[in-house]
This record gives sequence, structure tokens and C-alpha cells, in this order.
Amino acid sequence: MEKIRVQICTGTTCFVMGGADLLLLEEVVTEVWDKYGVTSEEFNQKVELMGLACSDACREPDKKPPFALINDTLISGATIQILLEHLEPLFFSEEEKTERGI
Amino acid sequence: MIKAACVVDVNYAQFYKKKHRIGGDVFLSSRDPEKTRIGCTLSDGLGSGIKANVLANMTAHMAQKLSFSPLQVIKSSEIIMDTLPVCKERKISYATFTIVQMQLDTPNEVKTRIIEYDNPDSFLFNGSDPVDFKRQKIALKRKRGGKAETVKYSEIVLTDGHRLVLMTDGVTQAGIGTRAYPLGWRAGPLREFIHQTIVAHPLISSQDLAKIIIRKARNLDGGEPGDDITCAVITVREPRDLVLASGPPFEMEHDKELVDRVMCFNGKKIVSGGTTAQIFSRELQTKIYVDIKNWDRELPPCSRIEGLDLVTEGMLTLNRAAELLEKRVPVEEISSLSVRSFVEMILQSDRIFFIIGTKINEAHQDPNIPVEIGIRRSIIHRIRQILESTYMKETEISYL
Repeated sequence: MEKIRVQICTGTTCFVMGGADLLLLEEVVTEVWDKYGVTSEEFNQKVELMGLACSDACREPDKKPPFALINDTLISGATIQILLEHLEPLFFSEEEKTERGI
Repeated sequence: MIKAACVVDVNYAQFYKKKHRIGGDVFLSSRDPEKTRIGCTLSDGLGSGIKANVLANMTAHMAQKLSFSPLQVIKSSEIIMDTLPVCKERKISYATFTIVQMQLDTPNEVKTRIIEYDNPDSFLFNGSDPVDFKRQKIALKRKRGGKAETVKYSEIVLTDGHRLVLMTDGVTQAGIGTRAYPLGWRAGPLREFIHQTIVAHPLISSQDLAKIIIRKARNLDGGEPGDDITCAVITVREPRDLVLASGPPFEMEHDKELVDRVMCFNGKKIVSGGTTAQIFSRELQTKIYVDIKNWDRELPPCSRIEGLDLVTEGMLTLNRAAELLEKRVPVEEISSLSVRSFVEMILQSDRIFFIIGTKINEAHQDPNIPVEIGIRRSIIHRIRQILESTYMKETEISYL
């Protein structure tokens, strides 16, 4: 299975506007989805978490830092909560959802 | 401005005597404002603690001041000796000294004068080979009498590959009284140790060589120095250059010029800034790899681009680097990897060329941003100033 690519912008603006929290995605996922039995190992099997030097999206007036990319979807004004919402349908297959009672 | 063909790398390292938080050994070095001369003084105040520190400091500061005055060195020494208090019982001065004055006005050679008073003789190496030089003994008369004093005076010319090693007796006497070194380390074995160290690390910096020597001395003392241990090293060598590019050019058509100038540069290359890194990645058609394993709450991680030695985030990293440089925080105590690599690379270089892009980052102007990001030019100005004044680096700046 192809990994879900999560890219977090680590440019100055994103970093100070909350991007630093997004880099903790793995820690948060394993804590919040602990109830579904998600471990660090599973996270790393399914997700490739990467940094991004500056997506340049911050120059567009209608978009708001921090930015993240999940596969090719740009998420503006990203928070850890929003990332989790985007990640969930990609992370768990339908079968897994029923199995784990999600 | 950058002019020298050879650079003089001056640095020192020291340990204080066990249980002491202040030392009686003082090393000072400075350049005159025209940057044509460097003066260094190593002084060891008799005794230890505050008294010794005050005396060694007095001596070293006087010697530094006199280094840049037109007075003859001998005259300078006499003034110092006359000013220093003499111990009532022992009839000797309270502080020893070694003064080194270097002239930088001829390219490729450094005319050097050395005055040694009661410190262990300094060592000269050409590459890794020890070299003897002639010392002239000069008797000085104190105005207030006391024992006859002799200083040793020498004139030598240092060229690329020369190293001068100065030390206090805490180094030569390290290990004294132990079975292995009943009389201490002593000059001969110490000189051999330095020779071996340079053979093993031909390009070793002054700071690293000084550190290796004092660590060995402390080990000979069983980890607890019986005296202050200080070693200073002066290395003459070809300059190590570094280019630091930060900020996108004002006009986009200069992007290519920026990348070309950095890539053609002969030396280490640092790029600081996300947008600047994007320009390099685009022009060089290489990917940026962000190392997200290494970052902390205050500083974004560094990245890698093939062909560049270091790629960091911009303003936050530069701000922190300026702060750390101003506080003289030792590199090994810097926790954040990106800024540690940044500071280390800069301190290992002699000449730093800044290429600063002047385009304003609109995203930084957002009033919602929770921290002061500042102006690139002023932060670079701060870094330059501290590098020139405290670290004796040569710098040059250009704007794009």
C-alpha cells in the first residue's frame, strides 16, 4: 500500500503560526488513536511525515499559515485537529473501521 | 573589508585550578582598528583565585594597550614591571607574561615579536615540525630595585603553516609529583605531544589544538588541575571561506545570479531561509529534504540540498545565532542542531561573505504573527559586528 504523504511547512511564518505543533503529528496520533490500537509502528508504516521548506502559499491573500499537504491536498490554517480529520479516512480502511469500532 | 592573503587564527583554552571558579591565568587578544596588527598576551598571576586574577588581568590589559602604542616592546615590558606590585618577601613580580605582537601589513608573512617573562618558553611549529628560534635575553631594571629581571625577546616571521603555542606553567607542570611524571609533563614531552597531535590532525584549528593540550594536562593531574592550565595557539594559514546567502533577491531575475554566485564559491556554503532554499531547489532542480527529526520548540529544522553544506530556516535561526554569538555560548552547549551547525560552521571559517536578498517577505508583515521577526538586514548587521569584534573574523557583504 502506498504511504500517505503528510508534508508540514517549516518556513518561518508557518513555524511561528503553529506549524511547530504540527510536527508533533506522530506523537498526537499515537496518543489520540491509542483507543483504536494505533502504535508508532503502524503510523510509520502508513504515513510518511515530511517537512517542506516553504510552500509559498503564505503569499496568497486568501490563505492562512500554517500550511500542510496531505498527499496533494493543501490545507490552509492547519491545526492538529484538522490534520486528524483529513487523515482519518485515509488511515483506516472500511474494514479496519468496523474491526476497531470507529 | 577583506584583504589578507594569510589569516591568523588565534584561540585559547583553559581550566582553572580545582575548586576554583576564577583563575589566575588570563589570555587576551585583539586587533588594532586598522586591522594591521594583532596583539596577544598570556599572563599568569602568582598565587591563585581573585588576587592572582586581578594581577594577571592588570598585566594582560597593560600589555594589550601597549602592544598598539608606538612604544618599543622592551619599554612596554619595563612599564609593566614597574607598575606591577612586587611580593615583599620574594622580591618578584606577581604576574608572568608572554606578549606576542604580529604585523599583518605584508602579504603572506606575519612579522612577529615575542616577549617572554617567566612563562614556559613558547613553541614554534612549521607544519608539524618543531622549530627552534633565537631568543635574546634582555636585563630590565626595575625603578624600585629588587631582583634583576630578564625578559626573552625574539623576532620571527610566520608564514602559512606556522603555529605558535603559548602556555602557562600549569601545562608544563601538569602531573607533577605523580609516579609517571615526578617533575611534571615538562617541555620536551609536551612538544613531542603537540607534534604528534599535528601529525594526526594537520588542519587542526587553534581552538581544538589548545583544547587537546589542556585536556591532556588535566588528565596528567588526575582530572583535578593543581594549577590553572592555559594554552593559547596562533596558527597562520590560508583563509577558510564561507558564503552565507539569506533572503530572496529584490528582483526575481537575479535569482539565477544568486544561485550561481553561491555555487561557484570556493568554500563552505550556507543558505538561510525557506524561500531562499526554494530558489536554490528550483534553479538547481534538486529536491529539498527537510530533516524533521531534528528541531525544537523554538527553531524549525534544517534541510538538505545537494551541493550546499547547510540549509536552515531564516529569521528565527539567524536571530538565535546572533544571540548565541553575542553571549559567546560554546558550540557544544547549543542544543538546537540547526543553529549549532550554523554557528559551528561560521566559527570554523575565517572570512565570511554575506549575500543578502532584499525582497520583503509579505508573510512576515502579518500583525497576527506572535513573535518579533525583525529585519533581515539589521540581524545580519548584528552578526557581522560580533564576528568582527569578538571573533576576529573578516566579513564582506553584498545585497541583491
